[in-house]
Amino acid sequence: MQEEKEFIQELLNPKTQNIAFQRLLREYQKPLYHHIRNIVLNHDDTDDVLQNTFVKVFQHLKNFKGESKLFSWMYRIATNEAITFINNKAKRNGTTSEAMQTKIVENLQSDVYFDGNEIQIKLQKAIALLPEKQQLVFKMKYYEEIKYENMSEILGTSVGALKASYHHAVKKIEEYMNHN
Amino acid sequence: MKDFKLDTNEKITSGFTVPDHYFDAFSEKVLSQLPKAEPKVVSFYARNKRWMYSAAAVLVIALSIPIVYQIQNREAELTSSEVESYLVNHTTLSDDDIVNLLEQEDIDQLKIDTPIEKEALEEVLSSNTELEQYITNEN
Repeated sequence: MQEEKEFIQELLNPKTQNIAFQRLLREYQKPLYHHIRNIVLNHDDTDDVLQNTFVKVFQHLKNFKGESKLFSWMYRIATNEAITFINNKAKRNGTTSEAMQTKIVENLQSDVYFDGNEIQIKLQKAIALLPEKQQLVFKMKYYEEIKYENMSEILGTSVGALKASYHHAVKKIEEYMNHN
Repeated sequence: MKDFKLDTNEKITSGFTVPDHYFDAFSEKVLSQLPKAEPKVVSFYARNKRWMYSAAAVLVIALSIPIVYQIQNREAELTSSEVESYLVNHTTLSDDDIVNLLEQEDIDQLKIDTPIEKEALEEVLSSNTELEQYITNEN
């Protein structure tokens, strides 16, 4: 935690800022990429959202109070950016974000940056049918293997509620997998 | 595929792939987008803007002092001459009225203000035909 405080100071100090920010990019670009990709599904959109996320992080660093961990703060920004992005995209296309997710998942096979077999596609389809919150919790737990405690900080939801969401999601997914 | 269980089934990955070298170029892409804390090229004018404004303000004030002073003086002069002409033209004050208004103090001051030469006094008195009458009345 002390080290993190020093790191944040380096990020705020104009002299050390550049090097510190490059370190931040190196450490977080991959996990945040996958986090966003799991929400928006397509690579180009992920690229846009990830760039916006880092620009936002940079702009708001001076307001970062250190009340939460840098890790969860950045994940929170990425999550908000990704969800806002898919909602706006759905609105532009005159549809709901759930309907749009389903459509993207159906076309996953034609995505050059998707290399999944039948069961991977089937799981994506099952997830796309879940309510937004359950989707998010399931993806963070199952694909990204984020601990409930950390997820709780990122999403501002209690651990108990997250476990319940995950449990519901798993039930629905297993049912889908067994009947389709 | 009966009885599919997420826990017991082999882990299913998302299947998403990333273009080659995407992350190598990503940092550069983001860094180029950051709002630059650029080494500011501050023009001479911008850097000294404050000083220049202050100097201009001081100059304006300094230059306006004589003008203000003049205006104030003129106003004072105007006022006294106006009062005077007003009293002359618009009032019915006779000399007697003015004399009645004079206090002993004012008279004393008049004495000091106008020291009279002895010769001048003599001349005035000698040219005054009623002088003798005044003297006799006084006695």
